[in-house]
Amino acid sequence: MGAWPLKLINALIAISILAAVAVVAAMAVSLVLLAPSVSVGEPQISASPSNASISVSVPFVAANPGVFAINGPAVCVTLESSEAVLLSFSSEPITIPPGSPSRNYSFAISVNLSDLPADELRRLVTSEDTLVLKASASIEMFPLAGVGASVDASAEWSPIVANLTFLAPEVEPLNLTHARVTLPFTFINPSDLDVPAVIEGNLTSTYGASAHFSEALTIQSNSPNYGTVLADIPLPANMTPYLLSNATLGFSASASVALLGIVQIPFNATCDLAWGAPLANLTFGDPAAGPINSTHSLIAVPFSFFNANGILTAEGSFDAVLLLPNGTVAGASGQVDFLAPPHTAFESNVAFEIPNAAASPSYTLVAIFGTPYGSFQMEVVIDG
Amino acid sequence: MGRHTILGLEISTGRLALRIAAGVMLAAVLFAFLSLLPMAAQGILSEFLPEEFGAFYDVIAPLIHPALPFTGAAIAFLSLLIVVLRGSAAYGPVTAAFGLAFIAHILLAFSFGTPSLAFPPEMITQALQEALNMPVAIDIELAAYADLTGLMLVFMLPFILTVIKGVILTVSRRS
Repeated sequence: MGAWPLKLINALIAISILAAVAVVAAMAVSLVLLAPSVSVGEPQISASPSNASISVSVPFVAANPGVFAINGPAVCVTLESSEAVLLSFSSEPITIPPGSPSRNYSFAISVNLSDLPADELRRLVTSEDTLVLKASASIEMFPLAGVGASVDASAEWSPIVANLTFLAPEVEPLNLTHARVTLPFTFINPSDLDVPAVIEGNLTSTYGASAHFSEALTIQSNSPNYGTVLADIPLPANMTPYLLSNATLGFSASASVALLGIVQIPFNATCDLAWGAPLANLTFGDPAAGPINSTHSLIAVPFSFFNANGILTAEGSFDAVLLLPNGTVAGASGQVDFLAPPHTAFESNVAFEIPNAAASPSYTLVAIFGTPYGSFQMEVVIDG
Repeated sequence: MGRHTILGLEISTGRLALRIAAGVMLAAVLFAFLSLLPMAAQGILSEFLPEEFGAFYDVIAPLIHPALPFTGAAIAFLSLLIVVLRGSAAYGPVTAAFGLAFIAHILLAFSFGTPSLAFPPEMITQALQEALNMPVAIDIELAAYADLTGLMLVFMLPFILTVIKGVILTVSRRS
């Protein structure tokens, strides 16, 4: 073998040694010049209009006067439960080309919240688990070197809500136009987190009325919690049938509890309102007649009812007339007012002054009632 | 002045003495940097690192491969042989062995191109607790890593060529 291969290999060895020294020097110079050129701006956090994603961007300025491209920084994060990947996102790739002057870059991360596994989050709200966080960050001087760090962390997850129980709802009349449904619930929050929650839903009734309700609350950490959601729903538009007769009004609630703004726990409940008629057992009794003078007599008709409602006061007035069998008016009362607090009876008399010539074995008493709940007319045949 | 024949190399006593002196000096320098330095690295680190970073000794220690002093010593010895046996029948094999020893040393020094540091979980947990000023019930592992494969290949290239040179020398000597 001739001498030229050896000469060539010796030359290559010399060149490669010089190249290695040059590469190291170039890397060192690049790093020395790059580091002071970097300045980081204020991080910006923004959410999409539908809150389906959150974006975080950190603007920075950097110059790369060296001969090697800088790739990064790059970040990758994954959060897993024992059954699913809860969250996974990576930063957008950044390349600072070699020889580039000072320029603006943005370190951006976008987290798509619509990818969150709703079923798994709902399970975690009430279940213990172990959450595993894996994160890595790296930066590379292509193609020679790269550095990075990785974090692998696991933590025991305590459920936010344990023993969530919706108790039997209650309903009661609120005022002349609305009833109030109360949805009580109890639960324990054994975690170290205070959890914002929103209970939201719809209430419907058997008589067609509906209402929407929403209640925001904070579930305190490490404490038993008791709460109620209140929903007001209109009473029937035509209350006349309910003035005189007791009834059962049915209500059903369909709602969900939203925890942390993302986890939904649905629940349904029904309840009945035992409606007590404010004018229950409204009765005009047997009349008592007596002379006033030689031409007129007084007929007094006893009038009574029981306010069977536990909340509302029965109040109003009526005007009555006595009709003869042939339909002519024998006499008229003045306005009769009545007022009965809840669960009390009311008794009174309505008096008619009639001419003796109009005396009859029987009369028809026609009374027109006016109440805050509506007006109605009542006809009763009474003996003379 | 006498002459000596070493593995086919005719050399005078004076030149042999000069070669041995030069070889020993080169070997000593290489031994100091490639064998003694890795051996004393931990001591040097403890000397230069502040006390509060004492816990990092255990983290950094695995970066210094325990075989480095031995490959360093082999390189030093082979460098002595290269200087002394230049022109002899053993020059080619010794050159190739020198290149291989250096390649092995670089591989170990670069942790095969991907050095990594694993921080003990208790160290991270304690640092987190101090930073947050609250108890932290998290099992956490932090590792720092580097991919120096490209740089390592740049350093290895001269010694890959040295191995080729040794092979060429050996082959040409035999033919």
